[in-house]
Amino acid sequence: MTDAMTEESNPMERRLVLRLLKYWRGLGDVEKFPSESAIDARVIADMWPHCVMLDVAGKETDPEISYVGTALAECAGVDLAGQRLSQAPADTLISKGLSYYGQVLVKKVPITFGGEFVDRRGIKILYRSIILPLSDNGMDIDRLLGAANCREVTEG
Amino acid sequence: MSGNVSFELHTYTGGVWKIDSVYDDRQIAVYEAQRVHAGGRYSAIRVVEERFDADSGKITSKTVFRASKTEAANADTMERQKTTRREVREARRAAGNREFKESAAGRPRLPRKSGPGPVALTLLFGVIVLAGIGMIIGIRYLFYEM
Repeated sequence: MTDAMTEESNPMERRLVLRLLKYWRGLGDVEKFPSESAIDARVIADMWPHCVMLDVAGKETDPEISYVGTALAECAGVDLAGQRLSQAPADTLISKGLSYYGQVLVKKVPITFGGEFVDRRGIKILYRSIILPLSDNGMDIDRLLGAANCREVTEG
Repeated sequence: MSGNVSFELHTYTGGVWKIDSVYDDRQIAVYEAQRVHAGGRYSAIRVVEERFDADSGKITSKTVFRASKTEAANADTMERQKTTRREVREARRAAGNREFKESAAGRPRLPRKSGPGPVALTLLFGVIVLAGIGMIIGIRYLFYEM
């Protein structure tokens, strides 16, 4: 069986967070974090709309959102590019999916987390997100690449 | 992370365990651990469940998944041995079936001979012929002499 076939047939392999983690692992050295410039949006074109980039250099307490994918921007309902993470509305995927970014800075490893929240329309949302550390010098984390996707839960 | 349970994927290399990544879901953690292990970059990997008890304030850890190159090599060896044993068993069974089929086709199996070989038989034949000739000569000698 080929890798491609395995990926197509295995639901776990289709998960956004695992596909992005696999891509991130392939970017750099085992001992060093990959840099932001190593990320090629064309290679991860299907995931890129679900991604968000945080600038944490000197802004560890409240990172700056330097890129927001279209899928996440649509969920947020406001243009958050250039804004601080704290300015993201609390009931959005960006806010929920990146809420644990501080743990990534402390542990210096990728973290994936899932949960649920009620969005601004009052609909329950199930989500899963991942945050991956990036570094220009391979050692000090200066960017975080996040990604999240979600689905609505209809009850009744 | 706000959950009470997390799963840390640890990798072992150069004599030390290092945290590789953290998950809130055991299934995803174990799946990623298997994927990392299959990559062959690390000599061993494990997934450690960390559970925080809010009442006692204690964190308990337990390993919920583990894999190493040594274990994989041992498993390979055991699998090869198992395959060899199975092949031998099947070959023996096939040989037994062939003999049975020949018997059933009206060609009964002959009992295995354990007597003297062709050289011994030739020598025995020679001795008998010589003894016969000797007897004839002896008889003729007795009759003609008397």
